[in-house]
Amino acid sequence: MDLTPLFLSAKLSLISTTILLLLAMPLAALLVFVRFPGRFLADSLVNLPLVLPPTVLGFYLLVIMGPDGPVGRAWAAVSGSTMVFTFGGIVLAAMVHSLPFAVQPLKTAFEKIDRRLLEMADVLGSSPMAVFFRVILPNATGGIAASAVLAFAHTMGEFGVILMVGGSIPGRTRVASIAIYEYVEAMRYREAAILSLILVTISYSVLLLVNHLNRRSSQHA
Amino acid sequence: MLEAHIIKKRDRFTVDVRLRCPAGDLLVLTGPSGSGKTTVIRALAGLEPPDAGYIRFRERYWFKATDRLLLKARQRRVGYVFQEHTLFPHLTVEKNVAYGCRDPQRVAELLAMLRIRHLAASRPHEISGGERQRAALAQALATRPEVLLLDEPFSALDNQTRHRLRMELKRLQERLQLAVIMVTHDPDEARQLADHHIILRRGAATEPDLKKGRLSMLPGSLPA
Repeated sequence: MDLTPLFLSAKLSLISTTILLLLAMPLAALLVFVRFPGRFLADSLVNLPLVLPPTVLGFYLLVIMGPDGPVGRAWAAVSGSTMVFTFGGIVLAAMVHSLPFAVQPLKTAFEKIDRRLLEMADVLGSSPMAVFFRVILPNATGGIAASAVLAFAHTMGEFGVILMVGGSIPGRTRVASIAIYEYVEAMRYREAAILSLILVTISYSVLLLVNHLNRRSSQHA
Repeated sequence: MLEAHIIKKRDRFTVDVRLRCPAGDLLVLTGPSGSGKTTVIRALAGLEPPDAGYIRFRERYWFKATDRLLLKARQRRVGYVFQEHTLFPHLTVEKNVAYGCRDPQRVAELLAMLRIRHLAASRPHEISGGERQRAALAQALATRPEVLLLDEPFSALDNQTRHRLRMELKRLQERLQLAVIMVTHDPDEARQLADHHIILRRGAATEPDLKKGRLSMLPGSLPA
């Protein structure tokens, strides 16, 4: 049985989660600690992928990332290649779709931090950037871990958005969930069952880990 | 000399307080809950901007409403100790003290001065309330502040520890020649420590207090 789709899913999850975390941490801090006009709108925009059907989100991403879309054109100007139907394209699509899963646990963790610690750091001479690295992040380790685990798990099971943006190119964009769908279509239930069982096991393990992290973080709060 | 006229609108009244505290003196702010004490001390620290007035330390303005001048907390030379939870929970006592100070010798001196050297490697949750407040005081002093702001620093402690820390504070304040502004609910604490005493009621100083022959505060007694 070909396990390439599973490895591709793991690679996609690992890369998109890593980049997503680096972006989600300052974004969550901005939404929690900085008052700016339109914060409510920005917060809702971050959560939009939660309520949009994946096909709708995938369609818009396909348009934006396509050869005539702004992101696709910019990418072509820099790299000389197209973005859709490539591994890079599905990394970006997975990041957009998993954004709320990465941002929400971080926001919750940041909101739990005692504001007096931030004020104290300010009085002690820290710049906002230093406060972020020296106080906020070290006191939100549970939230960072939960965010990483949720984004990873969500991307592992991602289907609609990746199918729209990446199609199903074996070895490049054919991830586990798409492979399962194609196995079922071809009536190859055994392969579909094995891949599904592996994904269920991974997802359940991830949930156990998130629950454990949440419990540990509430014990330390 | 720290001089200030702080005006800040609150929900039900306006805080309007003038104060003056020379270096080496300790000014105590007392008053019932919600009378504006913490508003005043937070304004001095730079954590809440007043609506009007001024704050001046020596010749330098930290806040001047008429010039729209407002220095950030990190630009003022203040140390601040909250009632509790001042220490960073993820750092040891030593690293907490060193947070705003890169001079290891200064950190070692303060740990010794506050008698917490043996706790250097402990985390805040591993030490007692009195030890935590000692560490908080060391942390606040590490940046060599010229003004020390204390917001009910001993109120969560038992009587014996509170008494001991009061004495240590008085000794430190005289030794370091700091201008200290302290908020307290405790009249004994005020009597024992204050060189100047302001009593706040609904944002206004209602009882000018004379102590040690000095006039601590009178509404309108300072130049604007």
